[in-house]
Amino acid sequence: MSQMIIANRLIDGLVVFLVSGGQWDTAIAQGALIEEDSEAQRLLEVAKQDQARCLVIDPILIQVRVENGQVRPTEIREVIRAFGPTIRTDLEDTGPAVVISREADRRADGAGHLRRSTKE
Amino acid sequence: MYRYDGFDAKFVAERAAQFRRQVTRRLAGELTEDQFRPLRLMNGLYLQLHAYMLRVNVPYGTLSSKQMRTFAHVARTYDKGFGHFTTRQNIQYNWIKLEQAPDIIKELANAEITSIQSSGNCVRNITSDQYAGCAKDELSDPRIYCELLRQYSFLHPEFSYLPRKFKIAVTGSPNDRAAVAVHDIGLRMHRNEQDEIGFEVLVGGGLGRTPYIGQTIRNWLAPEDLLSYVEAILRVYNMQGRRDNIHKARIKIIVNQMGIDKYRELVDKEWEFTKNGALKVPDDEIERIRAYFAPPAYERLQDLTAELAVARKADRAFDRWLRGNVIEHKVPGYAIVNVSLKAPGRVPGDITADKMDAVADIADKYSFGEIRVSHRQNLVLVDVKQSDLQQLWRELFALELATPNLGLLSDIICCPGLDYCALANARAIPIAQDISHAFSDLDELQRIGHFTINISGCMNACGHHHVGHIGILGVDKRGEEYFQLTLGGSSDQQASLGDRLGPGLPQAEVPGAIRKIVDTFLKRREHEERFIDTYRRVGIEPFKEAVYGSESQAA
Repeated sequence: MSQMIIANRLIDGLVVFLVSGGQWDTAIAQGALIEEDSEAQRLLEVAKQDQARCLVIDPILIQVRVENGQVRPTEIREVIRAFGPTIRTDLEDTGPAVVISREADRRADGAGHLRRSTKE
Repeated sequence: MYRYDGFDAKFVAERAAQFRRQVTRRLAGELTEDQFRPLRLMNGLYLQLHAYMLRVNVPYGTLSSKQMRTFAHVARTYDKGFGHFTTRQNIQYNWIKLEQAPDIIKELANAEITSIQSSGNCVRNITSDQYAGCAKDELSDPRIYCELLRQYSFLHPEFSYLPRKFKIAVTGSPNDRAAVAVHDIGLRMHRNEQDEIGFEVLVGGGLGRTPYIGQTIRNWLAPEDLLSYVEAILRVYNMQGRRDNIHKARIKIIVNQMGIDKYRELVDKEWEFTKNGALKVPDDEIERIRAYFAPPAYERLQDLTAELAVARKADRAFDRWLRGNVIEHKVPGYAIVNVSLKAPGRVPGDITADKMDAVADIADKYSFGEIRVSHRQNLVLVDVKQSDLQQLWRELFALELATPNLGLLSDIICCPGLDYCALANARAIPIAQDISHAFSDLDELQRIGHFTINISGCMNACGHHHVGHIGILGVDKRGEEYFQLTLGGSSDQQASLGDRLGPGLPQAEVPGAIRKIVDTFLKRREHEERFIDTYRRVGIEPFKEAVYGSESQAA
């Protein structure tokens, strides 16, 4: 399964993805798909340098897959981070409503446990 | 309502300027996230899934129309045009940019609003009865004591780094609308034979991972001793509370581990040294604060029972709203109007900036410019002339703020859940939306009667699921969202924690399960019983069987 690096941008908290050129982009479609674990670790180190440079917060590796040409995280939490809340469809600018993939689909993919945040 | 004095205004303005410097240093790379996090949290700024979230205090749920307009302005200028009222009677903004946070905090300070102590291990916003000062069943206005405690605990150096957060609630009425029994300290007002006011003090209540109903540590506390006694409770907690394990750090854990008698003994020992000291609250100080909460200039009016009866007969929708959302006022000719933020399919507690402005205008026109927030995530106009009710209803109706469902099944408490919150395991809002759609028939809702559903997206229980008649808890089961149901919870004067019904259900099955529970209730109900009364009489088994079938015992 492919991986990608996700973080929150320091200045506005928005979700961003590491792009192959080393920049960050708010669109998951622009994020670098990582196939090898060694490459994943190398890019995570790059991302952590950006954390030290106060560009992003909490960069992590997530698992993604490509479905009909669209990149999609495997965990619900990261799907919601990538595409926005699944509600408030009455407002246009909160990002598109997301259809969470069916239970059976995710089971087949062996989606892992949700990653929990530290309590603030 | 309370107005800032010179100290408050100066301090809050200075803090806003200080926070601006901190943000500038963070953005310039002079502070790491680890260094900056406690500084932003002291100002109520969290980092959530999609953006920063700012939690802003509404002390004891009371705000002016001017402050509501400031909330609208912030929502429109710095967020995506809406805000979310919470179970602590606060407001949260979900789409805040760090670089703009100092401007927001400054604008809030100009309107005498602050986000200080809306986060962190300190005394959080002190909550109260949303009908305070106006309820017919009230002994005395609890906000005076809330304000006394707020001034005392605001930036108190000894209590700004407690083992964990600390929540206080006060009710001035025997009918508890402030959920005092599930607070770290709950204060329940009583009147004695000498016609004096005093407090029963509960301690160690709370929800979250380990829920407890608070226990009475003291039956009677005179108002003059309020600060010294609360200080003694806090000081013992500060010394004895666990700091090694965040899940065992709340006061409820030590109270229940050592027992209420032992805790009382430690508090009394501490109190001995302080009860007759500087913290004795003089009567004139109570009266000084009381003056801020002086009743508005009510007109001398009569109740309009006959006139309203005619209007009700002529308009069924108005009648339904009046019966559902309007509460008796202590002053003749006036009424308390609940503004529902629970229209079918809407997000409980959410309101757009335009509607905030509209509510502010309506409050100016009909209710002395004051608005309340309830812990059940609705708004209240507490001082409405009965002669204005029909026109007010028309205006609220046009704004989709007149759903007559107060205290009914679709008046759901719901946390932001996994749609926004970094702690959540599951989404809570879509469940609330599904249920409110499934139960949108007003005749049916009225037939079912008083019913509370509380939903939390994780065990931290911001949605108070333990004390809903039906509680719904979102859990993560092997990467899937599941929902555990509890029955029989209540947060009123007969507070109880819900009992777990059975294994968690997937989202699609939740509305159907609620339907089965309701059907079982209606079959078992005697006379006009509320669900909670039927549940307490018949127990969990019939409901378990209805949801899981007769083989449920095996589950």
